[in-house]
Amino acid sequence: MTPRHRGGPRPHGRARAAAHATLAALALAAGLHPAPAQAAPWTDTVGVIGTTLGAATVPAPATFTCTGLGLGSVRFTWSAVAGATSYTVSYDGGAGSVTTTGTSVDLAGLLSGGTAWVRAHVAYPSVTWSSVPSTTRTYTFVVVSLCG
Amino acid sequence: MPSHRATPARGGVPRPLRSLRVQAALGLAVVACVATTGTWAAWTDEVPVSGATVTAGSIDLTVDGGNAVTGYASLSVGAMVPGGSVAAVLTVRNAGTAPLRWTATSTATNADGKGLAAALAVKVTGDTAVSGSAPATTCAGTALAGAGSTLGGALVGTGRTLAPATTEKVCVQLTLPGTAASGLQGATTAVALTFTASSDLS
Repeated sequence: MTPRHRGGPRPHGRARAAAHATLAALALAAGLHPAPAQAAPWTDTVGVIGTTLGAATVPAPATFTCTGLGLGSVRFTWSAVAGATSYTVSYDGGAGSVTTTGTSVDLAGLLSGGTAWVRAHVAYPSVTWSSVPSTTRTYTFVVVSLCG
Repeated sequence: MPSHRATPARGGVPRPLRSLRVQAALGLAVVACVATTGTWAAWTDEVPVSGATVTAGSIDLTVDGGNAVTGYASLSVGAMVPGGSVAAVLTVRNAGTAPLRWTATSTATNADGKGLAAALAVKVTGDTAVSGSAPATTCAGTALAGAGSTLGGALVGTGRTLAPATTEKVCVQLTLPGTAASGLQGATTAVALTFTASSDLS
Protein backbone atom coordinates (compact mmCIF):
# COMPACT_ATOMS: atom_id res chain seq x y z
CA MET A 1 0.00 0.00 0.00
CA THR A 2 1.36 3.42 -0.97
CA PRO A 3 1.87 5.90 1.84
CA ARG A 4 -0.56 8.76 1.64
CA HIS A 5 2.01 11.50 2.21
CA ARG A 6 5.17 10.18 0.76
CA GLY A 7 8.09 12.58 0.33
CA GLY A 8 7.27 15.18 2.98
CA PRO A 9 5.31 16.09 5.99
CA ARG A 10 1.64 15.79 5.97
CA PRO A 11 -0.33 18.90 4.94
CA HIS A 12 -1.27 19.66 8.52
CA GLY A 13 2.36 19.21 9.49
CA ARG A 14 3.43 21.69 6.84
CA ALA A 15 0.97 24.24 8.12
CA ARG A 16 2.12 23.68 11.66
CA ALA A 17 5.73 24.00 10.62
CA ALA A 18 4.97 27.18 8.75
CA ALA A 19 3.16 28.55 11.77
CA HIS A 20 6.05 27.67 13.99
CA ALA A 21 8.47 29.28 11.59
CA THR A 22 6.39 32.43 11.51
CA LEU A 23 6.18 32.57 15.27
CA ALA A 24 9.89 31.98 15.54
CA ALA A 25 10.57 34.77 13.05
CA LEU A 26 8.31 37.11 14.96
CA ALA A 27 9.95 36.22 18.24
CA LEU A 28 13.38 36.71 16.70
CA ALA A 29 12.36 40.02 15.22
CA ALA A 30 10.98 41.12 18.55
CA GLY A 31 14.16 40.09 20.25
CA LEU A 32 16.45 41.77 17.79
CA HIS A 33 14.40 44.92 17.49
CA PRO A 34 16.21 47.75 19.20
CA ALA A 35 14.69 49.23 22.27
CA PRO A 36 12.65 52.34 21.72
CA ALA A 37 14.99 55.26 21.22
CA GLN A 38 15.37 57.55 24.16
CA ALA A 39 14.67 61.19 23.44
CA ALA A 40 18.11 62.78 23.44
CA PRO A 41 17.97 66.44 24.38
CA TRP A 42 19.22 69.01 21.96
CA THR A 43 22.35 70.79 23.06
CA ASP A 44 24.41 73.76 22.02
CA THR A 45 27.85 74.65 23.27
CA VAL A 46 29.72 77.94 23.28
CA GLY A 47 33.41 78.08 24.05
CA VAL A 48 35.06 81.14 25.51
CA ILE A 49 38.80 81.02 24.99
CA GLY A 50 41.71 83.40 24.93
CA THR A 51 41.94 84.18 28.64
CA THR A 52 45.42 84.08 30.09
CA LEU A 53 46.40 84.86 33.65
CA GLY A 54 49.86 85.32 35.01
CA ALA A 55 51.27 85.86 38.43
CA ALA A 56 53.52 88.81 39.15
CA THR A 57 57.24 88.46 39.63
CA VAL A 58 59.38 90.32 42.11
CA PRO A 59 62.49 91.16 40.14
CA ALA A 60 65.92 91.04 41.62
CA PRO A 61 67.77 94.36 41.87
CA ALA A 62 69.20 95.11 38.47
CA THR A 63 72.57 96.14 39.87
CA PHE A 64 74.51 94.93 42.85
CA THR A 65 77.93 96.34 43.64
CA CYS A 66 80.33 96.36 46.54
CA THR A 67 83.11 98.61 47.76
CA GLY A 68 85.90 97.89 50.23
CA LEU A 69 85.74 100.32 53.12
CA GLY A 70 88.71 99.22 55.22
CA LEU A 71 89.84 96.35 57.34
CA GLY A 72 87.21 93.68 56.91
CA SER A 73 84.50 96.17 55.92
CA VAL A 74 82.52 96.16 52.69
CA ARG A 75 79.70 98.34 51.47
CA PHE A 76 77.08 96.63 49.26
CA THR A 77 74.86 98.78 47.08
CA TRP A 78 71.99 97.81 44.76
CA SER A 79 69.34 99.38 42.65
CA ALA A 80 65.84 99.79 44.00
CA VAL A 81 63.02 97.51 42.95
CA ALA A 82 59.58 99.03 42.48
CA GLY A 83 57.26 97.94 45.24
CA ALA A 84 59.97 96.27 47.26
CA THR A 85 59.49 96.66 50.97
CA SER A 86 62.84 95.20 52.04
CA TYR A 87 66.04 93.63 50.79
CA THR A 88 68.18 90.86 52.13
CA VAL A 89 71.93 90.72 51.48
CA SER A 90 73.44 87.31 51.85
CA TYR A 91 77.21 87.02 52.38
CA ASP A 92 79.85 84.43 53.16
CA GLY A 93 78.26 82.29 50.52
CA GLY A 94 74.91 82.53 52.22
CA ALA A 95 76.18 81.73 55.68
CA GLY A 96 75.19 85.17 56.86
CA SER A 97 72.50 87.65 55.87
CA VAL A 98 71.18 91.03 56.76
CA THR A 99 67.85 92.63 55.85
CA THR A 100 67.30 96.30 55.31
CA THR A 101 64.76 98.61 53.76
CA GLY A 102 67.40 100.74 52.04
CA THR A 103 69.52 100.12 48.98
CA SER A 104 72.92 99.75 50.62
CA VAL A 105 74.47 98.15 53.64
CA ASP A 106 77.92 98.22 55.25
CA LEU A 107 79.19 94.97 56.63
CA ALA A 108 82.19 94.67 58.94
CA GLY A 109 84.17 91.65 60.06
CA LEU A 110 84.27 90.04 56.65
CA LEU A 111 87.86 88.87 57.20
CA SER A 112 87.64 85.61 55.37
CA GLY A 113 86.23 86.83 52.09
CA GLY A 114 83.38 85.21 50.18
CA THR A 115 80.46 85.84 47.91
CA ALA A 116 77.39 88.01 48.37
CA TRP A 117 74.07 88.74 46.66
CA VAL A 118 70.84 90.54 47.37
CA ARG A 119 67.15 89.69 47.10
CA ALA A 120 64.22 92.06 46.99
CA HIS A 121 61.05 91.40 48.99
CA VAL A 122 57.49 92.58 48.51
CA ALA A 123 55.24 92.22 51.50
CA TYR A 124 51.57 91.56 50.81
CA PRO A 125 49.00 91.53 53.58
CA SER A 126 49.33 87.82 54.25
CA VAL A 127 52.49 86.73 52.50
CA THR A 128 55.84 88.06 51.33
CA TRP A 129 57.20 87.30 47.91
CA SER A 130 60.95 87.38 47.30
CA SER A 131 62.96 87.81 44.15
CA VAL A 132 65.57 85.49 42.83
CA PRO A 133 69.16 86.37 43.85
CA SER A 134 70.85 89.26 42.17
CA THR A 135 74.20 89.08 40.48
CA THR A 136 76.80 87.60 42.82
CA ARG A 137 79.79 89.64 44.00
CA THR A 138 83.02 88.28 45.45
CA TYR A 139 84.90 90.09 48.22
CA THR A 140 88.44 89.28 49.39
CA PHE A 141 90.51 90.33 52.41
CA VAL A 142 94.20 90.95 51.85
CA VAL A 143 95.35 93.98 53.81
CA VAL A 144 92.23 95.95 53.07
CA SER A 145 88.94 94.67 51.72
CA LEU A 146 88.65 94.30 48.00
CA CYS A 147 85.46 93.74 46.13
CA GLY A 148 84.73 92.72 42.60
CA MET B 1 -38.58 -6.45 -5.24
CA PRO B 2 -38.49 -2.94 -3.80
CA SER B 3 -41.22 -0.62 -4.84
CA HIS B 4 -40.43 2.76 -6.50
CA ARG B 5 -43.58 4.36 -5.26
CA ALA B 6 -43.29 6.96 -2.58
CA THR B 7 -43.97 5.51 0.66
CA PRO B 8 -45.70 7.73 3.16
CA ALA B 9 -43.52 8.42 6.18
CA ARG B 10 -44.58 7.68 9.60
CA GLY B 11 -46.01 11.23 10.04
CA GLY B 12 -48.10 10.95 7.02
CA VAL B 13 -46.09 13.25 4.69
CA PRO B 14 -44.36 11.68 1.80
CA ARG B 15 -40.53 11.86 2.06
CA PRO B 16 -39.94 13.75 -1.21
CA LEU B 17 -42.39 16.39 -0.12
CA ARG B 18 -40.79 16.86 3.26
CA SER B 19 -37.39 17.16 1.57
CA LEU B 20 -38.76 19.81 -0.69
CA ARG B 21 -39.97 21.86 2.28
CA VAL B 22 -36.61 21.63 3.91
CA GLN B 23 -34.85 22.72 0.78
CA ALA B 24 -37.22 25.61 0.36
CA ALA B 25 -36.61 26.74 3.93
CA LEU B 26 -32.89 26.60 3.49
CA GLY B 27 -33.13 28.51 0.26
CA LEU B 28 -35.15 31.23 1.90
CA ALA B 29 -32.63 31.42 4.69
CA VAL B 30 -29.78 31.82 2.23
CA VAL B 31 -31.66 34.48 0.31
CA ALA B 32 -32.43 36.27 3.55
CA CYS B 33 -28.83 36.21 4.57
CA VAL B 34 -27.66 37.46 1.22
CA ALA B 35 -30.33 40.12 1.14
CA THR B 36 -29.58 41.44 4.60
CA THR B 37 -25.80 41.33 4.46
CA GLY B 38 -25.52 44.43 2.32
CA THR B 39 -27.38 46.59 4.78
CA TRP B 40 -24.62 46.59 7.40
CA ALA B 41 -22.38 49.24 5.80
CA ALA B 42 -21.96 52.12 8.26
CA TRP B 43 -22.42 55.67 7.17
CA THR B 44 -19.40 57.86 7.64
CA ASP B 45 -18.58 61.50 7.43
CA GLU B 46 -15.30 63.38 7.44
CA VAL B 47 -14.42 66.95 8.26
CA PRO B 48 -10.87 67.95 7.23
CA VAL B 49 -9.14 70.48 9.42
CA SER B 50 -6.25 72.07 7.57
CA GLY B 51 -3.92 74.94 8.15
CA ALA B 52 -2.17 73.62 11.25
CA THR B 53 1.64 74.00 11.03
CA VAL B 54 4.04 72.25 13.36
CA THR B 55 7.48 73.80 13.60
CA ALA B 56 10.35 72.34 15.60
CA GLY B 57 11.91 74.63 18.15
CA SER B 58 15.60 75.48 18.18
CA ILE B 59 18.28 75.56 20.85
CA ASP B 60 20.76 78.33 20.27
CA LEU B 61 22.98 79.65 23.03
CA THR B 62 25.21 82.64 22.62
CA VAL B 63 27.73 84.20 24.95
CA ASP B 64 28.51 87.85 24.49
CA GLY B 65 26.63 87.62 21.22
CA GLY B 66 28.62 84.81 19.70
CA ASN B 67 28.41 81.09 19.18
CA ALA B 68 32.11 80.98 19.99
CA VAL B 69 34.18 83.60 21.73
CA THR B 70 37.86 83.73 20.90
CA GLY B 71 40.44 86.06 22.26
CA TYR B 72 38.41 86.78 25.36
CA ALA B 73 40.69 89.13 27.28
CA SER B 74 38.33 90.60 29.83
CA LEU B 75 39.51 88.08 32.39
CA SER B 76 43.12 88.22 31.35
CA VAL B 77 45.67 89.71 33.66
CA GLY B 78 49.40 89.56 33.36
CA ALA B 79 50.68 90.11 36.86
CA MET B 80 48.39 88.93 39.61
CA VAL B 81 49.61 89.45 43.11
CA PRO B 82 48.47 87.74 46.28
CA GLY B 83 44.98 88.97 47.09
CA GLY B 84 44.49 90.35 43.61
CA SER B 85 41.46 89.49 41.49
CA VAL B 86 39.98 90.02 38.08
CA ALA B 87 36.31 89.91 37.16
CA ALA B 88 34.22 90.20 34.05
CA VAL B 89 30.56 89.98 33.13
CA LEU B 90 29.42 87.66 30.37
CA THR B 91 26.04 87.81 28.72
CA VAL B 92 24.36 84.47 28.12
CA ARG B 93 21.47 84.58 25.65
CA ASN B 94 18.89 82.12 24.45
CA ALA B 95 18.83 82.96 20.76
CA GLY B 96 16.67 79.96 19.93
CA THR B 97 12.94 79.47 19.95
CA ALA B 98 12.66 76.93 22.73
CA PRO B 99 13.45 77.27 26.41
CA LEU B 100 16.84 75.96 27.40
CA ARG B 101 18.80 75.13 30.48
CA TRP B 102 22.47 76.08 30.56
CA THR B 103 25.47 75.16 32.61
CA ALA B 104 29.14 76.09 32.35
CA THR B 105 32.49 74.49 33.00
CA SER B 106 36.07 75.71 33.03
CA THR B 107 39.45 74.31 32.18
CA ALA B 108 42.88 75.76 32.87
CA THR B 109 46.36 74.78 31.79
CA ASN B 110 49.44 74.28 33.94
CA ALA B 111 52.14 74.22 31.31
CA ASP B 112 54.87 75.58 33.56
CA GLY B 113 54.02 73.21 36.37
CA LYS B 114 53.86 75.97 38.95
CA GLY B 115 50.21 75.39 39.74
CA LEU B 116 48.68 78.81 39.20
CA ALA B 117 45.44 77.30 37.90
CA ALA B 118 45.01 75.26 41.03
CA ALA B 119 45.75 78.25 43.20
CA LEU B 120 43.15 80.53 41.65
CA ALA B 121 39.80 80.82 43.36
CA VAL B 122 36.63 81.18 41.31
CA LYS B 123 33.43 83.01 42.10
CA VAL B 124 30.40 83.27 39.83
CA THR B 125 27.52 85.57 40.60
CA GLY B 126 24.59 87.15 38.86
CA ASP B 127 26.05 90.63 39.06
CA THR B 128 25.53 92.72 35.97
CA ALA B 129 28.65 94.77 36.54
CA VAL B 130 31.98 94.30 38.21
CA SER B 131 32.99 96.16 41.33
CA GLY B 132 36.27 97.74 42.29
CA SER B 133 39.20 98.45 40.05
CA ALA B 134 42.32 96.66 38.93
CA PRO B 135 44.12 94.83 40.34
CA ALA B 136 41.14 93.86 42.44
CA THR B 137 37.95 93.89 40.39
CA THR B 138 35.31 91.67 41.93
CA CYS B 139 31.82 90.26 41.62
CA ALA B 140 30.26 91.68 44.75
CA GLY B 141 27.12 89.54 44.90
CA THR B 142 26.56 86.11 46.30
CA ALA B 143 27.65 83.08 44.36
CA LEU B 144 25.13 81.38 42.13
CA ALA B 145 23.74 78.05 43.24
CA GLY B 146 26.04 75.28 42.18
CA ALA B 147 28.80 77.65 41.15
CA GLY B 148 32.31 76.25 41.26
CA SER B 149 35.03 77.65 43.47
CA THR B 150 38.06 76.41 41.55
CA LEU B 151 39.08 76.12 37.93
CA GLY B 152 38.89 72.80 36.17
CA GLY B 153 35.32 71.68 36.64
CA ALA B 154 31.88 73.08 37.05
CA LEU B 155 31.67 76.82 36.72
CA VAL B 156 27.90 76.92 36.92
CA GLY B 157 26.91 73.41 37.86
CA THR B 158 23.25 73.96 38.53
CA GLY B 159 21.36 74.45 35.31
CA ARG B 160 19.78 77.83 34.75
CA THR B 161 16.70 78.14 32.59
CA LEU B 162 16.47 80.76 29.91
CA ALA B 163 13.30 81.52 27.96
CA PRO B 164 13.64 82.22 24.26
CA ALA B 165 15.02 85.63 23.40
CA THR B 166 16.07 86.34 26.96
CA THR B 167 19.49 86.99 28.42
CA GLU B 168 21.23 86.50 31.70
CA LYS B 169 24.41 88.11 32.89
CA VAL B 170 26.94 86.24 34.94
CA CYS B 171 29.92 87.71 36.66
CA VAL B 172 33.05 85.58 36.83
CA GLN B 173 35.79 86.45 39.29
CA LEU B 174 39.23 84.86 39.55
CA THR B 175 41.23 85.54 42.68
CA LEU B 176 44.80 84.74 43.63
CA PRO B 177 44.52 84.05 47.35
CA GLY B 178 46.35 86.38 49.68
CA THR B 179 48.40 83.48 50.95
CA ALA B 180 49.57 82.39 47.50
CA ALA B 181 53.06 80.98 47.70
CA SER B 182 56.02 82.98 46.44
CA GLY B 183 56.81 80.07 44.15
CA LEU B 184 53.88 81.06 41.97
CA GLN B 185 55.77 84.10 40.72
CA GLY B 186 55.74 84.25 36.95
CA ALA B 187 53.33 81.34 36.62
CA THR B 188 50.79 81.47 33.81
CA THR B 189 47.62 79.63 32.92
CA ALA B 190 45.24 79.68 29.99
CA VAL B 191 41.61 79.51 30.98
CA ALA B 192 38.74 78.32 28.81
CA LEU B 193 35.07 78.48 29.66
CA THR B 194 32.45 76.28 28.08
CA PHE B 195 28.76 77.09 28.21
CA THR B 196 26.39 74.29 27.32
CA ALA B 197 22.68 74.62 26.68
CA SER B 198 20.24 71.72 26.72
CA SER B 199 16.64 71.39 25.73
CA ASP B 200 16.18 69.17 28.76
CA LEU B 201 14.70 71.49 31.35
CA SER B 202 14.45 68.88 34.08
